[in-house]
Amino acid sequence: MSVVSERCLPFDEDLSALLDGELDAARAAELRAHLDGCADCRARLAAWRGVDAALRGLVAPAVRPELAASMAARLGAERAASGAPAQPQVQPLRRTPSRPAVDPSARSAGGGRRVRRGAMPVWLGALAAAAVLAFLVLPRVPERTRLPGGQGAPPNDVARRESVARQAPPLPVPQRGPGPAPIEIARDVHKPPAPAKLGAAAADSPLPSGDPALAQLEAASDEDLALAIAVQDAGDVESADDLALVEQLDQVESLDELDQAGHG
Amino acid sequence: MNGVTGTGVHAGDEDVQLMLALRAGDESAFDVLFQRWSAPLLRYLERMLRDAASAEELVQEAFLRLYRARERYQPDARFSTWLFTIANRLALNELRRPRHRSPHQSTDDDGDGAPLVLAAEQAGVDDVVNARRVGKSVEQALGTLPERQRAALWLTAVEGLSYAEVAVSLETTEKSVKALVHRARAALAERLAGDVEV
Repeated sequence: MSVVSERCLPFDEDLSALLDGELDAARAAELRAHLDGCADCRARLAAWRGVDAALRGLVAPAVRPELAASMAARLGAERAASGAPAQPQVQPLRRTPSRPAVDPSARSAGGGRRVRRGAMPVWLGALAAAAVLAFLVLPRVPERTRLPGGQGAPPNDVARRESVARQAPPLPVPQRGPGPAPIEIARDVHKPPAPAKLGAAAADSPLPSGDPALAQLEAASDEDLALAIAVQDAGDVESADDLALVEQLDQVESLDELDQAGHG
Repeated sequence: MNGVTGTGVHAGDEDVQLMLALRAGDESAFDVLFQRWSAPLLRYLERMLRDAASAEELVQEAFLRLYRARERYQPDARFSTWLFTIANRLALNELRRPRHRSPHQSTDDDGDGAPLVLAAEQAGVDDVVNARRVGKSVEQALGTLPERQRAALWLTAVEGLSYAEVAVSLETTEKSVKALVHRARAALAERLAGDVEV
């Protein structure tokens, strides 16, 4: 199979392009006519299909939670440096958190998918069997990112993968669950009721009683507040467990200073 | 959609919409993009770099660059093309470094480098062994390809990019991509024909 005959040489590179749907209709028809009478080229095409299927059959590595956490930390630092907000400013879009589908529409209309299969080499049979086996079993393997398309589609059927993806309804913003952990951007600021002494202390503050930043501080526990103050004092915002609380502290202090300036 | 609009030819791409949302200040869009694309990107970069730790580092770097570029983002291409262009620049730079020649570290649970992880209790032992062997052969054969051949074939056959998109991503011509993909396929088929016996 390694040596291409002189007769087939002019077709060889286009044979690969045919597989990718990258030929125009006229050239694709020429190729098909050649394939009808050339067993060697049919075999090569079948082998290349096998290569593609084998590549698609390789299991994607799982995205470790540590990677997502590290990404969140680095993004946090980036945001702090650029002054970007820690939380969304606009209403999030409806979005699908699933693996994006391959879009074959971007390819030219070469009709490569319609090329009939040639004789399948022995090794290709092994690859196909392995790929099928992997697909039968892999969905049951926990914490494993799925194959391309990620929709449980056959490994070498790009169009079907896209079809399945299109049928999937849009999902809300992803929550924590099976699969890769989303990085944490919007921090959870809902805390247990505040101890009375914090509220009492805040009541003495010159800030307006309805100030949202103050209300958030009032709602924080002593422990959370102490941590937030420590983070704020250290200037180490990246390590903040509750960045929102630190920001509220900043805001209250800023207002406090303004108020004092106004009285001074 | 929340006033987020795109006038580019790929504005209908959902990921493009997410980028436009991020550009408009919806920081949560980054979260969704990361969740959608971190695994495919990691898978690609692991195959390119053949080193799990380096691949993870570059996934983060690619997303950081994406974030930094959000305000300048224009929907001129599919999101995947843009993301893989960033990734390719990073990967090819990384591959030029002398230190980057460490053995492939699989993220598979058993750490033996076998890319196909199957549930043994649900398949025959022979099938599992065979699938592991075949998958390992594919990984090894892929790793022997020149970097640009590897990239071109992967992006075309696995990620579904067109030759034009791969050309953008690899900063070359469509004709070159066509040749790269062809040579990669032919080489892989030959190597696998020699490696895989049943």
